[in-house]
Amino acid sequence: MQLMDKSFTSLIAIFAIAWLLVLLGAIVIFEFIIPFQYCECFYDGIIKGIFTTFLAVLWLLAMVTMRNRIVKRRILERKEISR
Amino acid sequence: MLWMAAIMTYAISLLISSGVIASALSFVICYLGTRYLITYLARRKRTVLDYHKKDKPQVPRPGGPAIVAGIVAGELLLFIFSGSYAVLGLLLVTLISGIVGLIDDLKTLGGIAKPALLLVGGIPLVAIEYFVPNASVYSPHLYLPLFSTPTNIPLLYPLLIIVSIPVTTNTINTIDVLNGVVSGFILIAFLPVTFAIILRLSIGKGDPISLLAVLPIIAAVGAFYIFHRYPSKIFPGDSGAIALGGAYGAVAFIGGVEIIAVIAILPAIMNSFFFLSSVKRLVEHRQIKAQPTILLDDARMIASAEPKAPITLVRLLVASRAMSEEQIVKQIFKLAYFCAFLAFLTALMTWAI
Repeated sequence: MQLMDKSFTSLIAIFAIAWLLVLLGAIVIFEFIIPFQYCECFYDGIIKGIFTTFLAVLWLLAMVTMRNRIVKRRILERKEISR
Repeated sequence: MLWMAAIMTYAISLLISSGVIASALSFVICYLGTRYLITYLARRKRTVLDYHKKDKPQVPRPGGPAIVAGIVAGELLLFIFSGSYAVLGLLLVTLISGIVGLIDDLKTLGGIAKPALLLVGGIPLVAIEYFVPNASVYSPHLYLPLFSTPTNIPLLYPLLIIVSIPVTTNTINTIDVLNGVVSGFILIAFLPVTFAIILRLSIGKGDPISLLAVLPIIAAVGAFYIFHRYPSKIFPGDSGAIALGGAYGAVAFIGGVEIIAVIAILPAIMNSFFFLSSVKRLVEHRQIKAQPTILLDDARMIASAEPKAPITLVRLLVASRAMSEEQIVKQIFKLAYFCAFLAFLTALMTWAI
């Protein structure tokens, strides 16, 4: 039971961190980095797109790191299967 | 003045009634359609093995056509009553996604062909907005938490729609792993989405029709869940899961609640992302040789220790302890509720602060 709770709480933690990063990323992109956000020009869209991609890559890297940690600690390095 | 107020009240009550009637129609069509499909598919031997049960029963598949028929009938009625092009767009996205899913059910599309075909799914929303004058299908404004002024992205927004529909459909499709998960998960995800639309409307933003458009979808999914919940009497198949993903994505855009919709389906997004990043290519689940979980003799599941096995949400949930299918489904729903709570918070931070 204890082990199951650890897996579950790890996932809850991942989702909470993912949520915070999504919010932070969205706010950073659309409110702070782009000073001319209400300009309806082509370059505005391009720059927002580049920043969004950049932050999305960072988000994905963070998620992969956390996921790999769970897999390594709970699956690959487990001593025995609790049945 | 008084007669104008009376007409307005009458128009509003007519619109609300149409939403209720459309939802009832969706529920009845999906319920009866699913019941019919269960016997029809079983008679035609269109069944698949329910692998995670001890007695390995054969379960009819796909139930998607009943879901699509329910949603399309309800939305069509709503479109006739309201004349809203947003509803028409939602209807077409669901229909196209359902058709692509049905092709996949019958012929099995490849890991790249399916998302490529689903790119067509988002086109109706963009096309109606561009070609029909004053269609008001969506607004190219992104509402962010803590900021009252929305960010205007007129060039990116149509592109975002075209790209997002295949992403949403595939994401929802990947969570269709165990009995009742995809239908139950979508029902939970619609809670904060509906709340966010109501919150937006309460401050005078958006079109009330976007709220009514959600109701037939919830009604149809609710009807299907009766048969799909553990132990399943029918599986939705790709046609069901993909159509639900399409409808969900379309609601996010016509309701203007994109970020809330993303957060509400985080477990599905993470599941899809974990899978793709571990297999490192677009591939169908059935093409994977190393299975993410091992089925024990008592039908419980445990994570596979095979390093090359794909990483999925279920594999992470059963990482340390074997669990029955029913237990895993409950755990996934708990994660869905947690993310729905985060989405609720985001909605409050966006429109109530």
